[in-house]
Amino acid sequence: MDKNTDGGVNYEELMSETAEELPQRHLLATVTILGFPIVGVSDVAVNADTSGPGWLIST
Amino acid sequence: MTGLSLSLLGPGLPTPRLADGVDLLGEFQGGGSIEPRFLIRRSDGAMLIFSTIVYRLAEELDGRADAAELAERISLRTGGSIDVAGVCYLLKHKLEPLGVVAGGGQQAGSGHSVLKLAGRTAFFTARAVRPAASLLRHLFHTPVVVCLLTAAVAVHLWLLHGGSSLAPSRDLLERPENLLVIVLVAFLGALFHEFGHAAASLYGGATPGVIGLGLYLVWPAFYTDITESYRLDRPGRIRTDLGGVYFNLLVTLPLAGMYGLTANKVWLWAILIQHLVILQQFMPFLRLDGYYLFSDLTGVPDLFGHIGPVFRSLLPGRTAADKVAKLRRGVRAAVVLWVVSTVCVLACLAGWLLLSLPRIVKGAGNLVTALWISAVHHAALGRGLASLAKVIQATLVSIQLLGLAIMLVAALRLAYRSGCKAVERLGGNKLRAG
Repeated sequence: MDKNTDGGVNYEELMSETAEELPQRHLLATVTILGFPIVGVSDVAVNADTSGPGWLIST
Repeated sequence: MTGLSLSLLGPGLPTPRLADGVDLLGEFQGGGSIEPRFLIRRSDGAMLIFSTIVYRLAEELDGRADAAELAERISLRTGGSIDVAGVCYLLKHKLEPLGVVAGGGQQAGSGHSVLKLAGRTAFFTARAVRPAASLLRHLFHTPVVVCLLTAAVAVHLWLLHGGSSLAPSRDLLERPENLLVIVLVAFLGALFHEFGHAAASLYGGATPGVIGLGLYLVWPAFYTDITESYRLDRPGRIRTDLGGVYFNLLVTLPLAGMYGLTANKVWLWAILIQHLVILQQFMPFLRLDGYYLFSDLTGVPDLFGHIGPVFRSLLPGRTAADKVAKLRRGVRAAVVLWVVSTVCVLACLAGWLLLSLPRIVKGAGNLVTALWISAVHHAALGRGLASLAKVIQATLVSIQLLGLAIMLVAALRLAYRSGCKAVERLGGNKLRAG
């Protein structure tokens, strides 16, 4: 630990010492297919016959 | 020295000891900092990270040594020099607030709330997860991994070259039983993904926590609490990150088997969904597996916590923020790149969402209404399965509308709070100037 010129402890250095709580690790799995209608309802409707699962916009 | 616990300095000095249930876990392996970092697990399972001198002090808290003796021991162990006041400062400001010292307070969560999972509900306790993870961890033995991955590659080659076509078929997915299969496989696949993380974590030696369901942005999401995996070495943490997508790949094997048996293309759609999940998971900008993978590759546990410091460091005339300056050079470059690209991508997404909001709300609202009408119609005709399928679709879209509303309210509250703080700061500056 470094000292100040007056022989005391360098408190700036002590203040910057790391001490923190790490974020919780919650590994996620979103159910992707459920997102299709919400991110482009009308777009999916347009493209449904050629590129998307039709049931999402079917009634 | 301001803020020092003076009571600790007088005669009859207390002899601090570690709080009950605190575990000293040693060095954080594969960290991206220039100096080593050390881990402590609190009794509530929270993981704490410390620099050398603070950790060494925690190691010496045996309930017998007072601050003077602690100062002597720490100076000896670290090769530096720290006095009684310094020890008291570290106790008061670094260890006590985090609940490491017996009798000390404990600050509420550390505020890591950026893009966090909301409304968490655990439905598999850690005790329930453990036996399943214990069984499934054998899937991570190297020969087993090699065999299963080879099988997955072979199956996909068969699907690609065996004349299987994924030509969209609206009729196929309009059949309610097919729809139910798709939804069921999507949910079970996501749940199995979580058990993949839990099993990988246990294989490495870290006990997994609960598995549950929450709301991530606008989507329902399963989650596994693998906070303890911080204690693993870097390969162990990376294995834990990849365990989920590995299990998604394994899910495709029985699905391909079902397709082989029935020739029903709904199983191909179910496989495609697993592929979409895997692709989505590698996205590093949200708290998905790709984010944790990048975090573990760089050795920086809290990437979102670096956004503010990185931008402050990028301002002209400012030196690198402490949090950034403590990173190794290559890691620092990677983190800056991640921060800039993440902020750009998220800003674009937020802009797109705001611009599309009226269309999304109107479209989804109409969709939900139409689905409910259809459900009632099918029910009236005695088509129970078809009615159930429409109810499920309507519910899923409704959940996402609810998620969208929650996200917007949270964003508005954040903007309001930030605005208030800015006004307060401005007012304070004017007062000082006056």
